[in-house]
Amino acid sequence: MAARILVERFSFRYGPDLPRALADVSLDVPPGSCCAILGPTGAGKTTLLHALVGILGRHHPDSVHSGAMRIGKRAFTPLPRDVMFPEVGLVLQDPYVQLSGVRDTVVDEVLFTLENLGIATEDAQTRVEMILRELGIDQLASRPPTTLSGGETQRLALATMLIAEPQALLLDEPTSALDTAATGRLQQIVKSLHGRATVVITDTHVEFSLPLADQIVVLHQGKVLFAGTPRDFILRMDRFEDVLPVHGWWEVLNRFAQSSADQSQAADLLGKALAEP
Amino acid sequence: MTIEFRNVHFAYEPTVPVLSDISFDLGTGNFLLILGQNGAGKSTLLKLLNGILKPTGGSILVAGCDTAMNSTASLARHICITFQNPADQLFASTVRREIEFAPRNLKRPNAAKLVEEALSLCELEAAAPQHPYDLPLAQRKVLTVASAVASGSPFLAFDEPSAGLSQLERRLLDKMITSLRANGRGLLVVSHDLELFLPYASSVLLLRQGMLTFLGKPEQLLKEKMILEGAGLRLPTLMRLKKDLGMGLL
Amino acid sequence: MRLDLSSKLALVLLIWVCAFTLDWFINVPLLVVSVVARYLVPAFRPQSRRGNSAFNKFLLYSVAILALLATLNAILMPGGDVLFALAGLKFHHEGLMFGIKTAARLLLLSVSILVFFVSTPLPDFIRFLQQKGLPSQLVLVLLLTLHFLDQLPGRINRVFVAQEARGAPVRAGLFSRTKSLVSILSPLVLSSIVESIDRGTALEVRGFLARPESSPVQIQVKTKLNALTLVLLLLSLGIFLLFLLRWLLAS
Repeated sequence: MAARILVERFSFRYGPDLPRALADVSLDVPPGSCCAILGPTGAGKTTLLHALVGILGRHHPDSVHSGAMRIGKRAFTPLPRDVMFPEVGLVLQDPYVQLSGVRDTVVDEVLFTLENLGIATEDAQTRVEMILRELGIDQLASRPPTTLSGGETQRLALATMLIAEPQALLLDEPTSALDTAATGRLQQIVKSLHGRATVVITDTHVEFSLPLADQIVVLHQGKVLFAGTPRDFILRMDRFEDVLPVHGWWEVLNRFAQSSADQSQAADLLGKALAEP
Repeated sequence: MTIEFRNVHFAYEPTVPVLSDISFDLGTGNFLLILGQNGAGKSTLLKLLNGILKPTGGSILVAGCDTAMNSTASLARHICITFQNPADQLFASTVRREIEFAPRNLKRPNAAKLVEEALSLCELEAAAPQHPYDLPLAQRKVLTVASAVASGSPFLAFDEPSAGLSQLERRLLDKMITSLRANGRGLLVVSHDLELFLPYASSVLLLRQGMLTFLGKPEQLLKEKMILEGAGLRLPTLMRLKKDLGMGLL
Repeated sequence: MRLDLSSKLALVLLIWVCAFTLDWFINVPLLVVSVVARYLVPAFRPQSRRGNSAFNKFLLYSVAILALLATLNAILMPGGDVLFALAGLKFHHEGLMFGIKTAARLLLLSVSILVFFVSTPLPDFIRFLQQKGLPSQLVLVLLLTLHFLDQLPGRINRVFVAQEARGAPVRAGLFSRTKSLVSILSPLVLSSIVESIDRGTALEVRGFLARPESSPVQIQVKTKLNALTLVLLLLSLGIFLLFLLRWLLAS
């Protein structure tokens, strides 16, 4: 069941003398919805995801943090000290690094997740096959994971998380290693997760996540510059020209506005156009 | 000076061709954008350019030097290539030393000037005394580009230079490409980022399963939707929207 | 014959005990038997072409190392008869024997480990360690180390290519290659560390470190302390005790 993600005025420094990596970040992601966190490299997106999945506290015992976090029924003040898996799943930016390196086939790679959880199910194999079919990589079931393409590996990494039925799924710049065709396929898959898990995507571009997101957050230098609906983001995106590649989108919006009653309608048109496959 | 590919074939094993019958020319002052799905042969083409791989058929001349007869280190005088992962090359203790590496290896008499120009072009002057790993990842990628620029080679080739860059660095890359072309360098870029590079390309080369399916001007490519789709590629959504709205893409 | 991993590891232990405790006239034949077994015994055959090639290269280098050690010790360690003189250098019997013994010991140790790893798929080894109850943190460290070694040839090649593309003479003469060493080693080490950290994080977020001690998943490979393993372990213990006794009596 999908969990609500609530982050309240969360601040984080990697060390007491280091600058703030995150500053008073607040986030409220309703269960089953999708939140896209947009921002340039170094904005703090990965730091936030690592905090949510529970490895930040473990890896940086000297860190300084404040604020609160809640994922589903579990509340943390301020940081989880243990990995939150399987409640929270994280798909890393580099799909190849996600592979365990200790399993010979795609099916075994996904089963590895269940082994880690100590889940004794007779239908494990069937569950895995179902997930692989859903992600369109069932024909690769008996292939060694290292022979897969970037897009196939990313989908396999997603399968290794989905098999555990997480309440929240975090995707860290999922398209950075993919070509346009693979990006389109991934977009369809993430759309289908709506309602099943609460999804948080981080991205440096708007194209992939804008059609998927129920809310957009813009993060820059650890601070939230914007939090709102995709429509509101579209109407204000010229403000983020220095941090996101939105110039072209703003031009398109203005062109839509020429044949619309107002900018709002133009924003709706742009939103609809983006959502087309 | 030109790069000349003449009926180039390449295969790791005789029965598995990777590139088949590739021919094109590129002169200094021009920019060739190389497109194709993952696995189409783009990286192989790059490695053929500087002799890392030798063609199994046909010939490749870079500024008159046959790549089959010259070592990569000697071909680097004419073409300098950077690859996708900065971690595979960064080794120096400072950004400046990293950028000095190529002109020193190539014994350029004006090495100091080349380094300063590269630092200035890539806006890395302030970062010059820093350790490369103290820079954010995006700046490290810019550093690899700067390192190639400082080589002084007339041709530069980049493998996915905009991957992982944020808006600031993308704007910088914009500026760099314009400046490099204006200074008469020949550029080859392998990239999925049509939005960033298509407006600058003087020509586009499209690969599909190792074969050349298109070689021509960007305007021609944009008119023929089927060519891109045939190669398993799509126009990015922004470009598609601009096209549908009758807006200029280039 | 499929040798289970317990027996294989017990055999490696036995070879190591022999290498440290027995005399050269047993170790040298044992070395020859180990090398021959790698070719003849299916359980010791490499699992991949790369493993096979790595082992063959290792053998070639071993011959060179053996010759070098024997020669250097024969020249530098005076004692016993002078076997012969060449270009003004005298080759002594004692030094030669010392060199041969040392080389045989080193090679026996390394051949046994190498044969074990090239003939054992990494997944099987990791699974075995987990089932034997090794702490997950230790298994993770071993996994990352072995993975690093496995990826090393590919990584070296990528670094070579990247530096050569900037004009570094990495494939030129010995002097030039030595000069280029820092530009090869540094990215090799740094990129390996960074990737290991990322890979460790990826395994951690898949719950690897929270893995329960016994995992009753149906594809579990069963291993147990069988008779062969016991025999090998007892042999190792016996040889070690004999050596200890000999040493005590001698002193």
